[in-house]
Amino acid sequence: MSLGLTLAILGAALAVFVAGIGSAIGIGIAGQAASGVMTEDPSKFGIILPLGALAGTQGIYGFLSGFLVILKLGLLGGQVAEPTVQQGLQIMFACFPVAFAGLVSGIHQGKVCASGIYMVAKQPKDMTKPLVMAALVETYAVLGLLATVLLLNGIKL
Amino acid sequence: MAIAPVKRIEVLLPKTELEGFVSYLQELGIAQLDPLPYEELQLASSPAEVADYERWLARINHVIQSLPETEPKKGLEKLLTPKPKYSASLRKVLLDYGYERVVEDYEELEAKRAQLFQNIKQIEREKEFLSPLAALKVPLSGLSGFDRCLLKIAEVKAEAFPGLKEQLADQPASISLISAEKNLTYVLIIYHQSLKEEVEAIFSGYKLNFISLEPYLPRLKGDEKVSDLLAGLEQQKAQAGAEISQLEKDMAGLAVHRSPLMAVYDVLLNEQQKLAGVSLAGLTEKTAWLAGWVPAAQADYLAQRVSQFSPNIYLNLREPKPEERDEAPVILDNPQLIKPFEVITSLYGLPRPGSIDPTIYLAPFFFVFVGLCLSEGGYGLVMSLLSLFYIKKAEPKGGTRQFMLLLFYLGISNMIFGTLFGGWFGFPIKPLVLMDPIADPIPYLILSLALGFIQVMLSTFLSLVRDFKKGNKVTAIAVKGGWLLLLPSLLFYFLLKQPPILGILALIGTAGIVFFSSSSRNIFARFFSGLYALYGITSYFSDTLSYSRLLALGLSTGVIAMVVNSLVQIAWGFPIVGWIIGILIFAGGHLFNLAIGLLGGFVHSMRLQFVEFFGRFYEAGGKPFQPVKLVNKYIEFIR
Repeated sequence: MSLGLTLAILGAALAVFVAGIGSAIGIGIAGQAASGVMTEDPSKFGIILPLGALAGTQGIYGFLSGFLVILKLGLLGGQVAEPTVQQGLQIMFACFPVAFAGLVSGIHQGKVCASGIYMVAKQPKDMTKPLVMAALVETYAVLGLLATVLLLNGIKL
Repeated sequence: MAIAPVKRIEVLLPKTELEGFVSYLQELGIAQLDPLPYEELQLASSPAEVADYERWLARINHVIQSLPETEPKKGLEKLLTPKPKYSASLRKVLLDYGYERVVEDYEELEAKRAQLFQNIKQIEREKEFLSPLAALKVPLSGLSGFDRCLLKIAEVKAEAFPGLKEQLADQPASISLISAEKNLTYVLIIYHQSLKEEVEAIFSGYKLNFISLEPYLPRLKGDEKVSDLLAGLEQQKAQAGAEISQLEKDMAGLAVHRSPLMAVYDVLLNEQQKLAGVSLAGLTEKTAWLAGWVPAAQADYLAQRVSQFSPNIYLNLREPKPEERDEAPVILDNPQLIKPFEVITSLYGLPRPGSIDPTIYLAPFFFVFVGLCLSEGGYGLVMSLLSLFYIKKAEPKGGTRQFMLLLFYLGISNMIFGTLFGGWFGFPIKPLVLMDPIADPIPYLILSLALGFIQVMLSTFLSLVRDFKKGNKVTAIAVKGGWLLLLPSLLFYFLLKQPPILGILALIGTAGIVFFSSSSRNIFARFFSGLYALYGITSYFSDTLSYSRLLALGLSTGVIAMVVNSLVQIAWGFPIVGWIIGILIFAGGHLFNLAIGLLGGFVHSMRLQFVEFFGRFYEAGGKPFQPVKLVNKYIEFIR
């Protein structure tokens, strides 16, 4: 296996696990808040769940970018590509936006979701407002994903 | 199409007819009552009765919640069962149901049961206390001591027992083991009175816990032993248990009253609401005065019904005075097809009276955006079918129904855009696919940004309309019109590099913005603050770029669906159980992707409306129309 391919795989791995860490921490924060609210009122599970799950998207974006790299390299079957060291580095750097934007936005989205959950506990009718607030944070994960996808698309093997 | 006009109503009626009239308004459900704006009139109030209803409601609710259902339904079936229907005219009849008796009976049974549970706890405690002594083969009456000797039952730590035994061996005392547990031993000690002090000095070194059976002595009939007492307790416990199950049977027997109680609950709830409505009236000695709102479209109907109801009621319908206009409730009025999208508008907060209702403008964009964000035909089909199924089965009303219809639309949108830009459950229908964002995301990005540009231009146009209506007509046309001229011509000029007329149009637009943005009379101040206004182009730029999220979200659902399918493919290869695992992965994976994708697609499409679209023109702050009507928790009233 060439160094180029190794670097490209490192990129895919970074996209998945760095963004995944962001989501894991974010959902962890939101999940604690959700459980806290549900000790008072278990019937709120349904309306709290979307807020608890929203910070999970960063991990999905990371995974998705990793998968696009795997597709690009042909690792799922067929002919495995042989990128040069330059190309491998290019792919790795292309994975950075989704990885790091996902890491930070995931954590902060989790915090916004947690306070949203506290809000829903008191104002169950206003559940979409904290969702929109959380989506404001997610924008930057989405833009990170977008950059990664466009960069990957631009790299010719 | 817009905000529906409302009319102010003022009603004068004899005080005696006030309650009946409010009750009638509840049945009509088309008029909102406001607190009367005249402070000199005494406001009606009946707090005692309201509190009374409140207590009954709480008690009935408790009975309903704890009674078992006569035909128990589980999860999904329960969700899909519509509320039972009752004719509104039955309301008074239901109050004669004798619910007070049922509730009191139930509460009595409940109190008895609670007492029995208490008794059982007490019995358990006694059993725990006595059971280590069950091995005592002597009647309790014989344990009270002798003429010359003292007798003690004690609890001592297991490790201390051998030492204690050894020390007592030197004394005229006997110690015998009754029973031993893990850490504790129970002992019977007999010693001579004359050596009381010496022996008890030894006791103090071993931390004995003396057990007194004194309380049991008066209860004895003859020669019962501890084991007899225990048997007696066991019997008592069994009897209490039997009584509890009998009580529970009796309580379950009251379950036939459950559904009538549900109806009664709702009737009482409405009685309470009625009193709340009555308390809004202003009162003189003999007359009551109510004020409120009615949708203009239903004003004549209301007048007609009121005159039918009673000849003693005077109803005045009029246009709101200018100072009342801001207080008017807001009713969104859109064609049936667009109505479900009012959900989105209401989520943000209703528009101010007299401003623009954005529903019809956001509807097509929201429809398309969710389709682009998910772009999954199969998921769309699932969404549409499920929401239709729910509407047919559970017959939801009001907001829930509109939301379900919205989901139905979004499902259709996904079937369209899933076919064109994505696939069905991850499988593209090749001949119908217009563009494949995974293979080449650029056209999809351009499409997203183009839609975004159109919506941003629409919001600019709506802000022009708003400003124009407000009176600053020249500024509205020059500045907002300037942007509408500048941005598209600039865009096309850069794209096409010709014709020069576009450049000229852009310059005209720019001139409008520069010279009319500021209202200053000083020509220099006006010019430079106008130049600064041009800087606003960045907001148009960033708003349009924000729509690029449509591509990212659209990609994510498609790719995850593909991943699910490749996992299924791998699982399919396993021998024997492969197809089971495959089907499980297929169902679970796509369901997960649908849920996450829909959440993301919905929230982000909503955000695009709220932040990028509403930002330029929308004025929130309308109060929702809240007519006095029949409310329901457990049942549904029909005419």
